[in-house]
Amino acid sequence: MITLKEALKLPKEEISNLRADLKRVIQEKKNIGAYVEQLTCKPISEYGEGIPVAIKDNIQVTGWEVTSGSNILQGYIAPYNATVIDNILKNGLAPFGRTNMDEFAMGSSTESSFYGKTLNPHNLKCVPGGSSGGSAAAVAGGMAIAALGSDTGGSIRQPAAFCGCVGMKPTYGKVSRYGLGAYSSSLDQIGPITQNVEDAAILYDIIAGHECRDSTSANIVHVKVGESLNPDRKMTIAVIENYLEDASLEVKAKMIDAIKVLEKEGHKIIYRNFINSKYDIATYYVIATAEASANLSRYDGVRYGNRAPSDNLKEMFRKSRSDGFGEEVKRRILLGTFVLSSGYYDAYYIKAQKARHFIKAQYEEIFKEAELIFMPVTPTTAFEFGSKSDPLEMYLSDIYTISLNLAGLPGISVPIGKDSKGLPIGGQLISKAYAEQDLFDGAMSLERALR
Amino acid sequence: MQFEVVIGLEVHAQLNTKTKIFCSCPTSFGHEPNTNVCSVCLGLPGALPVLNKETVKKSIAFGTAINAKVNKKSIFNRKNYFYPDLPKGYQISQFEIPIVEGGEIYIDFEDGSKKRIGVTRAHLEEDAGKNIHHGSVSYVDLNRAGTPLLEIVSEPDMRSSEEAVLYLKKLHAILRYLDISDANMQEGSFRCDANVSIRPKGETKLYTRAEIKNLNSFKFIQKAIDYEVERQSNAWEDGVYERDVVQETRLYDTEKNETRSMRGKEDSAEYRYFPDPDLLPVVIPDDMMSECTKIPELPDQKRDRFVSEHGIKEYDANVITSSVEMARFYEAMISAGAGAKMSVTWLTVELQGRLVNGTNIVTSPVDAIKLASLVKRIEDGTISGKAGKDVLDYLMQNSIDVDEAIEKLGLKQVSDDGAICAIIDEVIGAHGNKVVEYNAGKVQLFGFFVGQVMKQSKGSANPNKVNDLLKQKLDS
Amino acid sequence: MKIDNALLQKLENLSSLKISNEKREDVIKQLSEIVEFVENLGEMDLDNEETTFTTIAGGTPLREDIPNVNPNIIQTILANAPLSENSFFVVPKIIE
Repeated sequence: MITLKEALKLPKEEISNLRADLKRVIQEKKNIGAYVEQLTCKPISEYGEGIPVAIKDNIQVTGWEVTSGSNILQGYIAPYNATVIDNILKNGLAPFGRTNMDEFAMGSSTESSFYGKTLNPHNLKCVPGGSSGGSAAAVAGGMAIAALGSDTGGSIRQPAAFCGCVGMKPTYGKVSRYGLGAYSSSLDQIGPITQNVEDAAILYDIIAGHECRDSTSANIVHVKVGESLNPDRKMTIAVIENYLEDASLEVKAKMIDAIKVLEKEGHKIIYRNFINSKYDIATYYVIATAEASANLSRYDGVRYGNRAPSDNLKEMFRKSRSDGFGEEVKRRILLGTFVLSSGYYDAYYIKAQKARHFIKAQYEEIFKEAELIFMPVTPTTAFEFGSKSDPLEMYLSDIYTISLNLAGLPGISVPIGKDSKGLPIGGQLISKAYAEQDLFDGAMSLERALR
Repeated sequence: MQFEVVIGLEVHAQLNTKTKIFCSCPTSFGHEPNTNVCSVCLGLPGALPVLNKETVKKSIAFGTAINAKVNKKSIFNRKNYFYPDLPKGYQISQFEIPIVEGGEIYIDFEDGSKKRIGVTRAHLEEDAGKNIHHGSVSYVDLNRAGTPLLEIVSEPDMRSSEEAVLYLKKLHAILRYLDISDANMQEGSFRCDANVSIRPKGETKLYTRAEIKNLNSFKFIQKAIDYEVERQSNAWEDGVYERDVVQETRLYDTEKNETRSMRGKEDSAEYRYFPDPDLLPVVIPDDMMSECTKIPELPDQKRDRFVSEHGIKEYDANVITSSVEMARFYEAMISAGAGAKMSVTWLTVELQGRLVNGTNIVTSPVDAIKLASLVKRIEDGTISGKAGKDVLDYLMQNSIDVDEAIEKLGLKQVSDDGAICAIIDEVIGAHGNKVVEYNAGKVQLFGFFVGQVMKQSKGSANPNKVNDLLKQKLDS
Repeated sequence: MKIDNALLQKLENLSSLKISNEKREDVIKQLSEIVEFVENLGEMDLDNEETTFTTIAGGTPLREDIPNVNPNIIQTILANAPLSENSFFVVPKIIE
């Protein structure tokens, strides 16, 4: 598959060929179900004529049915473009196809999508990860040049790791959320999922920047990272030791190999420890579900989407939402409602916001001594469909990705090898807030060294 | 049993900004349904709120006007509940840290005494849309959704429905003087809810309060409160207070003049307030704070100035300053050279009494300049006060200037001493015997002479002059 | 903290949801498990921590009061609305 960098150099006439070829491949590899259109047997959604970029189904594209992988948004046609879509259109790219996702971005396997499951291209019995499983499977499966995903607790990085491609989450605020169907407002970020690190930097540069229609958009001028990528930089990289210990043997082994490689490249490796990741997960599931419980209240069947008919208003609300939302979404709404309700607000919600401060400070401590942090993306490789039936078990697979979102930091997942069954393993680099240059330089170095 | 009434008032005032509080849709009234809406106020997926700068500025002005603390930093919270006119399923409001806290409004009684009413807080929030019920369905129009509101909450300091109305009228005047709201009750830009409770006189604790909604005129507010006080007092005296008086929302029925329970609506709705993560804290920049704390003269200040500088009575000054439009009208008359005391009378009695069929001070066919001219013509003796009334009647119906009207109606008064003396001489000459009786002590005949002179002059003699000259002649 | 059926009902009412009878027991169990898990935050010493509601610094941006409407948005929404009439959204009435 042509890279994004190469595609951007193509003369205009060849782009339509590129698009036609891609449509063919998407049709051929229908069984993977990376795109919603593959699962619903509809033609690929298009807008504009530029280089095709696959778009996660929670990012608004004018005229497309954009449903966050949910029954409740069936019939909703987006009437405006998300900021990231306007940005890619201005740069010769075009949204091309809706990628499958966990419903409302709540999940780590894309199993909860209304449309059905997406398969991991490396092993069809395994999940592609989630919630941006469709985007990662499309890129890894040779069905997309590049894709956009969203990351609230690891939803770009984890599927990228499971599928063996690159996935990057920007510093919170660097890429506008305007037009991203919200899950957890203070944690959500849109980011690139690509075949290599340089493509991720290019796509990141295109989508990043201040948006005045977004009050949480960082008010700084974006300095492009793609033009000054330097894989030769030598940096101090902190490895989080206790996280390494908690990973599976195969993930740990590949991580150790990667650390050796980084050392050989001339980076200085130091070892540090974080608090037990169970606190990160607890903090995340209080904050994210609280915000989500309110963000999803707009789905009431009144103005758009799927309404369950009734003679009685209250029944209409209840039935539309209960029929329209899947099990996991309902669970998280109930949980979020619980932690915000009177009597519990201080004990859960406020406490979690304090824990968040602690977690953020923990990172800042380490960044006093290192430019980057290196840790696993996931404790295991892609698991089999249906193997995690207990919600809590599923949540616990997010141990390495979640704390970044809480701290608002940028992170990138880079493939570092495969396990004995051929399933990809990802390594995660993290930098200080707004230091994406460090992040990409380090990732370029790692990628090159592993080649 | 002697009861004391405890009243607290909540007013939602729509701010008269050009756009909504969190999006750039125009604020509107009476337009076609769902025309002033966008992704934000429709609650579409992916839409985000951005705060309107003007709402902050107007809040600062209000806080300054009521001597309150304007919080440099305040927070927006989500207030969560489901209703068709609430597109996001939550209202963005302020909870623990509002933009304005702890102010006061003074009310003035007719006897000249004043009372301080505390204002607990004022906070910014967004309005909901409109739900129009029709048979078995409701029609939802979201034009109004997102209109900025300032919710102003008083302390429970009022002790009668009269005090409540005085507070509301003063608050209304302040909003209009600052020009931060149209504050029009009929149009819904000034909405009042009353919290009413009673307690045995002398006690200080607060008993159960009922919240009365759907009050859209000062008259109905007074009646609703009176009814509710009676209902609660009766319940107490009949021994059924616990059963009949519960913390609930009641609607006022204007036809039957009674309040009715709205039980069935979620009284103890749990709103699960939390800081809105789509917004950052409201932080007022220093330059905005100093700019917006410079507010125009307020009703009380204007009143005090009119009393001290123009020498009019406080009662009259209160009437003049009760609305910003009347105050401006009066000030324009003074600027045009009319005397203060006469301006008061001619504005508040003569003109006001002639504004019928929906015309008001702003739409009056006789503007301040014209009325001032009329007053000046009375003051300089050109016409009598009585003639002035006829001229005013004429001016109300005809677009003509004052002097032309006086000419046309032939109401110019004779003030020339010589002319008047001539008439006096005639009258005295014709009623010699009465002159003798007057000089002998029958002083009440003076009125008869005045009447004769006026009749002889066909009413055009300047009455003051007549009095003075007649007295001179008769006493000599 | 154990979630029970009464609490579940309250949460359902607040969030306009209804868990079907067959699923109630499972949902109660799952929620209880998750809540018990997140209670591990009680093990952290957080008394002196600030609360961090956002990682963005500064005050909320202030927008100029300049009107701007895009009529295409409402046209699309009304055209695809579940039920609309004469530019209104139509919903059933509340029945007590």
